[in-house]
Amino acid sequence: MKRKTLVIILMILSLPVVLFGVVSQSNLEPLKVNGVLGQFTNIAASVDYSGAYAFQLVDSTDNNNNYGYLESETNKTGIRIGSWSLVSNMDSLTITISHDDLVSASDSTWTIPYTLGVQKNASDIAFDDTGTSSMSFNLSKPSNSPLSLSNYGLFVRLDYTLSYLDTNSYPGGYYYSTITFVASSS
Amino acid sequence: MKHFWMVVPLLFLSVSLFADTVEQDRQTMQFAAFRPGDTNPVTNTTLNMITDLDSTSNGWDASGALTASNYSLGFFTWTLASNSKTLTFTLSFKISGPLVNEDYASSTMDDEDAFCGRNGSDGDGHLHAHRDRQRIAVETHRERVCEVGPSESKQRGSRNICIDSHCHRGGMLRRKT
Repeated sequence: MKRKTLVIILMILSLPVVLFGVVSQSNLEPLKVNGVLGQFTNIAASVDYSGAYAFQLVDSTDNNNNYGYLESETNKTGIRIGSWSLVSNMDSLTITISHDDLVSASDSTWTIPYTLGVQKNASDIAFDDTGTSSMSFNLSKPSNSPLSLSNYGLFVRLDYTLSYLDTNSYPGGYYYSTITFVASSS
Repeated sequence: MKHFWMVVPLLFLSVSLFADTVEQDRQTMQFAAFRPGDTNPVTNTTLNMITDLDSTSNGWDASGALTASNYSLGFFTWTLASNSKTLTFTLSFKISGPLVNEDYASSTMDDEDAFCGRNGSDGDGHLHAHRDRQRIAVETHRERVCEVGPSESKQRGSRNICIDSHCHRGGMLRRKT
């Protein structure tokens, strides 16, 4: 009898935990604080598009409207394909970005060169050097905070016209290119 | 051996002098572009008949007859997604009447294979759809979809999937009115 009474008392005592425990848990909002000891640099990049590919390489009315600036309007940046971000506590960094051509997945002998545009500050976009398909620029850390760039744009402008691809019977299918980002310090 | 120990400090000195750039982090990103072509077009088409012929909301009155007041409601729907450069969608249909209430315990159908076979793709990447009195066929290079539509027997539609000219009859619903 005593044991049964004890069990009932324990159940009653644990009732507030059952009733209010969930509520208390749901109100917990942990704040994560990170500290860094020593030098730290992280560079990251991701594609912007959600489908299987960034754009179509076909000469048509629609695409001329969409990608016309890839061919003729050289003062434009090109089509945005992704973004890159950087966090570092280094005083100065050299960012080197290089890429290969767009290469046909079905036949690697078919390649399409392109010019890569990289946003390097709020209003300036750097383009890679034709021929080397790479670029390099320096970034400096603000005096009282880490260097932090977030979602800066990556743009592609084709070196060939879309009609050129049609005329030369470039094969259909996917074309891939890899962009490499390197952050280094002196 | 004596010369070797002289070379080691020199190597160390050269590394210290020229290795002045330290890689802090490296990341790669791959992106893709797509060039459609006749070699691998991606086309997906569906054509769906309204099968509930008794429902007035589908454009048919309670007796199964098509009336002037509601015949403009959707009779069938179709969707198309493709990255081919050009597509031709041809749709023709014929409705023979009258549609009446009849009690059918069984039904007969034409030979599906023959039907699908005579609507073969012309091989140019074009897509053709044909509406006959009893069925609708939609064809692409890779898939053919035949659907049995409403017949004079007021039979509910059934669906046949035809791939490579081979049709498979789907489930058929019959109802006595």
